[in-house]
Amino acid sequence: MKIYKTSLLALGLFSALAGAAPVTAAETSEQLVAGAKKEGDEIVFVAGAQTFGGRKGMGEIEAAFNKKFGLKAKINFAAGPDMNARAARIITEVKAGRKTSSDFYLGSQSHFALLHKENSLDTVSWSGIFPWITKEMEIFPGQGVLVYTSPNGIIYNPNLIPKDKAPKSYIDLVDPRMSPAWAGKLAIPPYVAWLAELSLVWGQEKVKEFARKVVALSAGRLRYNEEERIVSGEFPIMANIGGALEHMWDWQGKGAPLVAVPGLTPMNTDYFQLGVPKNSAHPNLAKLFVAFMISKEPQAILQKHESRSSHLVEGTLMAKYLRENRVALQEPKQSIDYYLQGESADGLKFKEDLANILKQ
Amino acid sequence: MKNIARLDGSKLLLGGVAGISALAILGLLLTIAWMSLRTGVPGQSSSYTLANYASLLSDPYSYRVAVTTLIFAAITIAVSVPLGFLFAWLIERTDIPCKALAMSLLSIGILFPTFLKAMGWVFLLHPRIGVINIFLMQLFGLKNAPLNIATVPGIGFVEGLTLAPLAYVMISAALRSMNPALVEASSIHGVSQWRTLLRIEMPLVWPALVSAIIWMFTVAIAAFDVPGVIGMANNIFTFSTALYFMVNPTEGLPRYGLSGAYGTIMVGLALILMLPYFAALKQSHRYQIISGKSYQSRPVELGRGWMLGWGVLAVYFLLAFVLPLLAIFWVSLLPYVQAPSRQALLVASFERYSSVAFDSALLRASWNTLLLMIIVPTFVVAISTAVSWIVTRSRLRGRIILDAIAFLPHPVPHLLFALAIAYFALLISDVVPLYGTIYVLMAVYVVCWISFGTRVLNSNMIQVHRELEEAAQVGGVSILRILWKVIVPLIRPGLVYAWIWTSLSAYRELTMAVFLASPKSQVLSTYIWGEWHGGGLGDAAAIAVIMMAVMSPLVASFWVYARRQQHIASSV
Repeated sequence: MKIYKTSLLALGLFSALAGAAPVTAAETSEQLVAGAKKEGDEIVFVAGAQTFGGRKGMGEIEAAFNKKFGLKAKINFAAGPDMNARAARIITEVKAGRKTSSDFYLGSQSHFALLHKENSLDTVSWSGIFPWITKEMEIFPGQGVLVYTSPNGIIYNPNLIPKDKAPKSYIDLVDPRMSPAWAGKLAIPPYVAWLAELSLVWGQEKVKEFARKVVALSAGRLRYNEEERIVSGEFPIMANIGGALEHMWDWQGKGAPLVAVPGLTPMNTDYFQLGVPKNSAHPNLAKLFVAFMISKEPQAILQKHESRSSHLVEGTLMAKYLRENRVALQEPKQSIDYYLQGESADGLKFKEDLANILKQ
Repeated sequence: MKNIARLDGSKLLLGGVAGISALAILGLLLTIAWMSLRTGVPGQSSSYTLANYASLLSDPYSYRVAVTTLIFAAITIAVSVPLGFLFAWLIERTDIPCKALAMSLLSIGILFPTFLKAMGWVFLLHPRIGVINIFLMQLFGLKNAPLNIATVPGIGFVEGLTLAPLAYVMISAALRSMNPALVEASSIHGVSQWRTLLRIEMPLVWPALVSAIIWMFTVAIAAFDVPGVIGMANNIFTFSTALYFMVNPTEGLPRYGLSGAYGTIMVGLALILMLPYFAALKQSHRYQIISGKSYQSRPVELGRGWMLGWGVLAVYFLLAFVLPLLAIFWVSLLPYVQAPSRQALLVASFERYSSVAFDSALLRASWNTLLLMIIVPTFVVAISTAVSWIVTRSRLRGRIILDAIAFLPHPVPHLLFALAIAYFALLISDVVPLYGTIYVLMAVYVVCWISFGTRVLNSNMIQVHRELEEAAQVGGVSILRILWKVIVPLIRPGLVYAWIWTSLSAYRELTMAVFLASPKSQVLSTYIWGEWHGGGLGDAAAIAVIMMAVMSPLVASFWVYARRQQHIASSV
């Protein structure tokens, strides 16, 4: 009788959890393919104009995706605003109860933390459904899977700033002995996140002091995909950019002048992930596409077109580089914990202070 | 009895169309005010609060944006209005040769999208990559760039250059209709031409100048294209770009409430600006020639001075169109942005063109643009006809109020309407799934350009004598039939002109589109903006060149036709 009661209780608890958790545990890739075929032949993706190799890369990815799953899907790719603005739009759309403007989302830890907190992401057992995805690749467990690893750093144009006068770390940027070379010409990203993440190593006060100094030296604000403006010489140097190494490899491959320098050791890193919003218009197609992007073939396409890849996929450029050069990266858990806990009064105040400093 | 019923039905239809349009205009303005009293995003519950106003007024950033916007607007006016006046004076009041060519070049200049010119100016006058700066530095051995486009005066200069043709159009009409007797009298009394210009002609056209100044001011405070393309990366934020980042933030959630507070204050200012604008318009009739008196003023003889006049015009065309477009073309040929050099020439190719030309998203954006160019002007003309008929030909009580409401979108920055409709479409998305569709863009364009349509059609309808209409009414013809069979044929040139102008505005519009476009409702302007803002400078340049190459013949032929129609219209 006792065993019966315990079993019943366990069954009840399991049922309750299964009901409460939005994890689509029962899904298999076959079910997703069958569902995808019923969703029509279009999948919408809003991201930066050059994402996944731009038009060329996206065309190759689309062909490989369809071949892999026997689909005829067309990726309707549209250039949109910043990652945060796109996350904000998805949250707004989910709250308004309408289908999201993008079927899946690309962003880093801070953006996924925002989407997670606002309960705007679908939860999927990525590693349970797709054999090529490991638990470690689920940077935001059940929600975001790593599509490419982007160590942050400083980038500069060596034609305008000679290597011997270039900064070797973030601290060098505000060193009065070195900074006259870029004072009034420095570009900085408009995001609070890169500064906020520095506080994990430096503490809040030191970051604020650094932010004040770096803003005083700055001439403009560039987004993380505007590195061509450093290559062109519009700005000779950028204080921080996600994917500094990949940008350097990519542009040097075209014969363009661009050098990347790690700002910190271990390197602060953007773990760019893909996830599916709650009200995606084509959820099955989106899930298949997200999972597909973590496999070897699309990783090779990304690598070919924009030198990007995930360090967790075997044989990629990033995996090899990190292993061979013994480069240490900041753990994703550190920044995720920071963002999830960051909504304390102290965390909010710190971010607000940084935002005000950046507005100067 | 049957006739009366039919008559009422016609009136009801016209009244209904006009009434719904007026409600849409007022509704969107009220949405902005309502937004300002709420927090959070649409769909979230929120109590009414003044917190957004407190936040706006206590943030030094708001004041910085306001000051920057005012300086930008002042410089825009300082560049566009004097240039517009000079061009109008040269073409309307002097014997400068090849006037038709000058007029056509200025008119075509209006058609080139401003954001494309702004892109070109980055490559021309940026302190580090600007070709003109590099040339000047090499020529004079300078260490630093002598000119800088990436400043508030710089973006004001570019905006002013692009708006000069519009100022010309506004001022030239006043100069054309100015009473020449005073100028003749001045000439007979031996007053110099310069003195006549300053003491006689300028005071005579001052209402047109004031109207042009107010118009340029409202355009400048709402302009997104030049501040977006040049200003944003250089940490220069005007009202429109600050608003863009409130709705598309780099941190956290959109601040619709704060943007509503900004918007409400702007609407208030715009309404205040309407007063001097109306006063200026009212005054303008006092300075016109008495109609029916065929009196042509003798043009000012320039002598050899015509070369100076054409020199000014040529420099303007060079700066405003030729050089920016050449700069864009040059960038489109390169793997990455480089100043012109032998080395750069070696790597120049048309590779980008082959990769972007048949991109499906670009084709979709082109299709959407074309749809807007056809549907928007059709609605604008239909609605404006209904409104203008009520205002000018009916005896309906409150028709003046209807006219004032139809005029409201003119002084109110258009991006506020875009913001309001985005918010409204999100709110009602459960019931009416309009959010993110091309219909939202259509709706806001129509609402904003009714003011233009009604201005054109009001003046056209006033000229049609009531006798024809009254005769038809006596014959028992319905109002709709009279409108269709009698009035529309008579005001056809005005209708065609309004249609074409609105169509061309839909083609070049970026400010509203950038707030509303979604993946499925991308238009050419937002597509190029997305590429530019997303770091694809070369691709943006290549698409811009394709856009100009494909659309320019169509746009130019539209314009030639419009000018002919306008000519006919002015002689009706």
